[in-house]
Amino acid sequence: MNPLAVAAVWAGAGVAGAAVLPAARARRLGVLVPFAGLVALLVALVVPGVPIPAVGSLGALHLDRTTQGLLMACAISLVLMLVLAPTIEGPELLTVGLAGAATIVAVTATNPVVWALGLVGAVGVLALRWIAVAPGRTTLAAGRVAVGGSAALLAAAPFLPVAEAVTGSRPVLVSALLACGLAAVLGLLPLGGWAAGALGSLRGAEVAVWPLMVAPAVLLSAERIQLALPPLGSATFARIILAMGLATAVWGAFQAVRAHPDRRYARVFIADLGLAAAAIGAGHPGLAQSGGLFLVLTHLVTGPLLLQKPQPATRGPRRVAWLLLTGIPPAPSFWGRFLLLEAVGQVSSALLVLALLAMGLLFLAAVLGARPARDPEQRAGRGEGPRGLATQAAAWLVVAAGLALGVASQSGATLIFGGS
Amino acid sequence: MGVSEPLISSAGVLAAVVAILVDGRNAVNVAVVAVAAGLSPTLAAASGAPATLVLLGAAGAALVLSWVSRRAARHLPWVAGLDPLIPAFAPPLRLFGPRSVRVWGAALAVPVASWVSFNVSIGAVAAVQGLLFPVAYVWACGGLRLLVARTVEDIAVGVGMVGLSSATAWLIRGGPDAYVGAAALAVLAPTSAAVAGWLGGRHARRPVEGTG
Repeated sequence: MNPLAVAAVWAGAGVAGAAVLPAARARRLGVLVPFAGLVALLVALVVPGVPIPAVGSLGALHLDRTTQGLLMACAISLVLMLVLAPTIEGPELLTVGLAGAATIVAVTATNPVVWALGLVGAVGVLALRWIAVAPGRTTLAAGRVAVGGSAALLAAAPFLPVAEAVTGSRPVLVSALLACGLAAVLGLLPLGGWAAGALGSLRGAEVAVWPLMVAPAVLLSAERIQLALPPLGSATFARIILAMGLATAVWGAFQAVRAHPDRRYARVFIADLGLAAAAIGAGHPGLAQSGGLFLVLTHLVTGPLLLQKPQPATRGPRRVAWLLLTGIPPAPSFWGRFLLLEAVGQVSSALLVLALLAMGLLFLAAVLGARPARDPEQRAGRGEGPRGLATQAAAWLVVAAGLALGVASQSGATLIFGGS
Repeated sequence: MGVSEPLISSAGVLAAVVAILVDGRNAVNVAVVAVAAGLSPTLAAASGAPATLVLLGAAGAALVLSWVSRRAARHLPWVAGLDPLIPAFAPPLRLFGPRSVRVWGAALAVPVASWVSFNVSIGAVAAVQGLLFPVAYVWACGGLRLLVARTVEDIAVGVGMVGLSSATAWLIRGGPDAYVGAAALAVLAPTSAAVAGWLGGRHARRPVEGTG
């Protein structure tokens, strides 16, 4: 099965799930949408090499082992997200299917047009759904900024590849368009208000596909597109993404400490994305990719729990999930942040201090998140009954997976992303 | 007979101004047709007359798909939710309204497009320079329309403009997959027209008050 067929399975499952399940009063079977995508990814054809979206032909989609591993982890995370969701309404399944399909096309594309169109499709579907669910300034900002960012990637496409343009304005313009476009889709400062707003104001199942699939895939693309740029363009790209990433990490971590408990996880997630983006700009692709993937994996484990509103059945697992984000061993976030710190620290000691500041604030935010709830409503009730027990079991399973990932980090990474 | 560059650039600028300012239920259709017509002379001069078929085909497809999706949506019952013409939020009263902001944006886009045209080369086989002014201007206006959008219709217009200008740039770039790539980019215009038409059609049939 080639990547286009995998994307078709995602889109087909999403359309079928949204059309059939609500009418059949079987909305909880919506977990089958990402599960069908997971099965398709399992049987997908994996080829050696890395897809760089700059030089290939339009129809050439290329699924390598690392991308397959990341997408499978995203699919599992979306399955868990829907299992733990208190309700599934139906239309969000269409968003999961269509945005997932567009993301798969984008991350496996070797042509800049297909890559940019995939990202426009993914963020367009998300923005449309979010505006429909909760019309307002924050959701409209997703349409304005995220779609505008992906439009910048479209504008860069006709100028790629630029490897032969060693001097002049072209590599600088292309790099600036790529960096700003990717920063907008990743929700980095000063273009990232839409991400924090949407994650804070919408139901977990509605927003899940952005943090649990689109953003990780865009991060992987950002690591790879840099390889297609000439030295001048690569330096411009690195400078922009490093500055935006580090500013996002420090500001996001600071806001995470101050934030309302319901919105804290969104800020932590965006701050970690900022750290991963800063490491890409640091110019050490190996460290940036390893650290970024590990940190993303941590969020794919903790996201299904922490993106949801607190439920009685998941109170205990949520506290442990917060501890997994402290950045202290054996939490898996330790390995991801350590590698990113190593990458950023090689640029300058000033940047190292800023990265350490962000990590310190993230530690504080995670500890605040792990405190017991003060709200008597949240303390009351244990989520008993078959549904509550099943949710509790699934939540503890998620936490156990996170702990296993932290303890056996290297084996876990090899299992998920392959030996390379 | 040689072509007059100022004339073909003026056609692109006029089209972009129309597209950035147009509002209402048919805004996407008007913008897409204007941009396709405005960029066709540039494309014909740079890549030959057959290349314009991509833009004109996209504009025709946008008109047809918009009409079909609007008609199809009218057969469904009215639903609460997203009307593409209603602003998603009400901004505070300002000295300048949304259209004035777009006019200022269109004026600011002139030096941006001019810089791109004079300083950035394009071409997969042979790099050329100086052809990109109308394309960059339409793209900049489309990007600005996206950034100051207040409704889903604004976003659809912006996406259509960006799609058609990127398709034109891709055709000027040339290369072995020029037509297929341009067609893929131009598909954004009919897609956004279809989405806007569908959403508009869903809300065209309001429930009759006091019945039932």
